[in-house]
Amino acid sequence: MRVKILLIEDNHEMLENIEEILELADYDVVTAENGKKGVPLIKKELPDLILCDIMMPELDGYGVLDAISRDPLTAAIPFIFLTAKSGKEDFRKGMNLGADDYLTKPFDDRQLLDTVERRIKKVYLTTRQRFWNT
Amino acid sequence: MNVSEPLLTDPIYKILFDSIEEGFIIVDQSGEIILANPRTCKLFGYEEGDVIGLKVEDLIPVDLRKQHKVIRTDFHQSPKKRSMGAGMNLKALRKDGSTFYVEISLNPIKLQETVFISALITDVSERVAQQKEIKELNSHLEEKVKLRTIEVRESQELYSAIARNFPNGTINVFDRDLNYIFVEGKELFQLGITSEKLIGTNYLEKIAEEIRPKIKRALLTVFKGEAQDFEIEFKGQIYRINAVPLSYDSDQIDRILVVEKNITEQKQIIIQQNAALEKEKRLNEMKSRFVSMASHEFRTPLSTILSSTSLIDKYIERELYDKTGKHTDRIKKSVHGLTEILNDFLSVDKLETQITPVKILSFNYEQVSKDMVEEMGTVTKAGQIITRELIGENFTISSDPNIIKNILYNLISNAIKYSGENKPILYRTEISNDSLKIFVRDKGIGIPKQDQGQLFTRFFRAKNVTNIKGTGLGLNIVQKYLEMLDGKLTFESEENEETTFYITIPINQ
Repeated sequence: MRVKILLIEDNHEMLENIEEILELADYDVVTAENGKKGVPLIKKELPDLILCDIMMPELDGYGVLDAISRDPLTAAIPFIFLTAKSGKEDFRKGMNLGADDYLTKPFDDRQLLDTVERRIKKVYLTTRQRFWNT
Repeated sequence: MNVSEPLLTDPIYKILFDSIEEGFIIVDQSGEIILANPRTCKLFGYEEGDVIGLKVEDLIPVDLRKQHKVIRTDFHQSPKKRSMGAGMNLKALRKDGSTFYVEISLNPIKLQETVFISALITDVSERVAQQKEIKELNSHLEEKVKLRTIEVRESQELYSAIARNFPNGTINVFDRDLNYIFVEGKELFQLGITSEKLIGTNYLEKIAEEIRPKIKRALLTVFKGEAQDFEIEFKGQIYRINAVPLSYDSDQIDRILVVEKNITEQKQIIIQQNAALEKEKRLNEMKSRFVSMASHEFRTPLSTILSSTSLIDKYIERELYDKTGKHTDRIKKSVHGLTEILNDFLSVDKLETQITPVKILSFNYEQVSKDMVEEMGTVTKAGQIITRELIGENFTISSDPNIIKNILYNLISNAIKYSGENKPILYRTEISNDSLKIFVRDKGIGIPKQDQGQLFTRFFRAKNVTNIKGTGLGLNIVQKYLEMLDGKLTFESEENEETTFYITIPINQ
């Protein structure tokens, strides 16, 4: 089964570029151009992983994370922030809200794919462990 | 001799004669001593009895004898009771040649039809010595007083010199009615006022009417023993007033010392320092705003460039060459975006140093406005329509078209950026004989009240736009451009409702 990634990014070019990189690496990608459109899409698609920009109009990345954390169906989905903010404060804020990882712009394809793979693998391992334990 | 013998036979006289503390002699007409008591001999250092037969002049220092003889002869012709030497330090001569001071009382006596003179001699050496000492003391004291007087005069001169030369202010003494009793200071001289002119006049009359009550109140409390220290402004100068009670011996304070110091210069220095500090602070704030803005505004296009190059690599690897074109375009576009940000910085810098010259031309504003709306139409969001209104009779105006285009570009792109899809944008221009009035209105997110004051500050971005890309330079640039054209920029905004920017530029048609 192919891994499904949901990408939320307000910059159109970045959205397309990330989507292409992920598709070339054989991921299924669903996109949203802002947080407001992203939240219902997450609930509908129930992706394996979420990549989300922080600075967006309408609803920002923190808002998205907060919204999905409140829903038990989506709360456990691995969540990675994509951000142009490089301050330690911003990093801490994102992690404190429960993000699993953090990618600072600009990043290249390797950094992106490594981060995504690491997160998927971890989920896979935990799920398998849980399966054998029961 | 026989003349006196009857006297001395009387025991009372004898006792008196022998025991009195004064010398007593009787002299005949020729000046010969015919009788002398033992005390006389002792005073003059003779053996008892040896004085008898001597001339009176023998008991007087040589240099005075001749004169004495004349006086004595005169006296004998018209004798009367008198005293000699009182207060005149009369000198007498001892047998051994030494001298001493005497006072003498003379008394003519008639014995057996012959006139004799009796003299009572008192040794006043001690008294004279004392007097001399007193005199010396007195003269010493006088000397001291003289010296002291000079000292006092000198110190008074010193004090008044200090007061007169008191820099940048005056030293004043006021009475209970705040009239000048004393005033000196360099500032008087500088203002061409003499202290004589002020003395007796009222201090309050010198002070601006509106602050008189305050000053009066403050100075009158000084008479209650409370020192005061405050500042006043007078004819553009700032003075620091230091007032203290002047108390002498009595408990009542009837004079106060007021030191008026002109601190305008110090104040200006403080103001300058504060301004420098403020500027430093603003620069610092600007720096941190710049850092956070640059972080975001540079990272986004850099991200696009980096991811597009990654994708180009991948497509080349897979020999999907036709897919690379889009990404080279993206890289170019991002580089253009970065260049634009850089140009914004540079134009701020240029405007700051006023390198850009203003080029006034006669041009058709209608054409400029049409082109502008057409150009901006390519970057509007879905459903955003720019309505252009132009009011006036003659649309050919004299101004700098490039500056006006830049201003319009900034304002209209802001309206697009800060309002949502399907929201109308109104771009209206009114041209009259002497002015160009433009307003640009959007129905967007608006500007929060607390941010409106800082809107033209470089790199400043309102709280509600942190998630919208921007450098925080646009309005600062617009304002700088308008300054070059003597124009004005104002705005009205209601958060989540609308924002309108108004521009007025003087023109010549």
